[in-house]
Amino acid sequence: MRELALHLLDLVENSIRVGATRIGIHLQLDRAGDWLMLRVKDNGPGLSVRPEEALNPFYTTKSGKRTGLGLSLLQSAAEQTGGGLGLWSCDWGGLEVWAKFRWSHVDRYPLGEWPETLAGMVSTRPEIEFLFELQLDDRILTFQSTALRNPESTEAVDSIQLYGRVLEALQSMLSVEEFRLFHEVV
Amino acid sequence: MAQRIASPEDLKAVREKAQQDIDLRSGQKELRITVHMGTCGIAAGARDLLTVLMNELQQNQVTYVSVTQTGCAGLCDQEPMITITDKNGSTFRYGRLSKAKVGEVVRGHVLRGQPMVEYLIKI
Repeated sequence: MRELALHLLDLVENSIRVGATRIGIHLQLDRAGDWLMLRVKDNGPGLSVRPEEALNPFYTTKSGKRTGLGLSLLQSAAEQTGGGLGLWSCDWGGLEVWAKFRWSHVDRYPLGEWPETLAGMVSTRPEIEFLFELQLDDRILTFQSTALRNPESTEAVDSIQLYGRVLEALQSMLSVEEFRLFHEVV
Repeated sequence: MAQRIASPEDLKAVREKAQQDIDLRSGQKELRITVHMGTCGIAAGARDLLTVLMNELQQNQVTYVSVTQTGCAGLCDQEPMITITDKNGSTFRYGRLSKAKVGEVVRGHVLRGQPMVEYLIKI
């Protein structure tokens, strides 16, 4: 999977498969530190094994399968940039996975199609509450999917505006003039 | 790629698109399309299939279909896959799809009610 958005999709699918109903996604770029950090946390049951065991590509919780490649592929993608991956219990009661990449590293995978990925997740999983935070240095943009359930409410209109802004900001992250629009909208 | 939002009309369009996306999933529908999004499916292109699928359904103003995701079905060599389930519970599993093929499946199976036999997985 040579696109970070696809790794995000894989992490989210893992969370849903184990029963999470609330998923937080945090994408942070620290330009001064030259790091890109992706964190995904959920309110699922958490890890039943030690983290190093979960990262073994031959460990899986899926019945009938012998491999669990998703986390180890993400770990490899992070480590090839000089970053890394970790797992721990989070404040929502479930698992938090973080992956850190050196932003300027030549082997960092592209961010990929985040707007399509987020739109697909939110629209095909309306039963899941997604909290998405996009952080550039010390500025944070937040979008919560539950506001879309009542599209006529003021709260929803505000949130949908934010949704548009998140998509716009992400679009700018993918362009040559990275983050120019993000500066404008935040 | 998302459109740049430069006017209230653009914002309205984003809002309507978001609502249409939600509508695709809500309530009991005649057909349910499930996109398999395990690691194998994602690596093989399932996210792009989902995008094409939803665009095709919206362009054709199809309201009797719900779209959802699930994980690996254990047929990793057949990915990317979708499963169509009708209201009688009959399932049609399509494998080794491409963006072009999933468009054909929507136009053939969903719009005309004719399963695309050549793309069905034979087990």
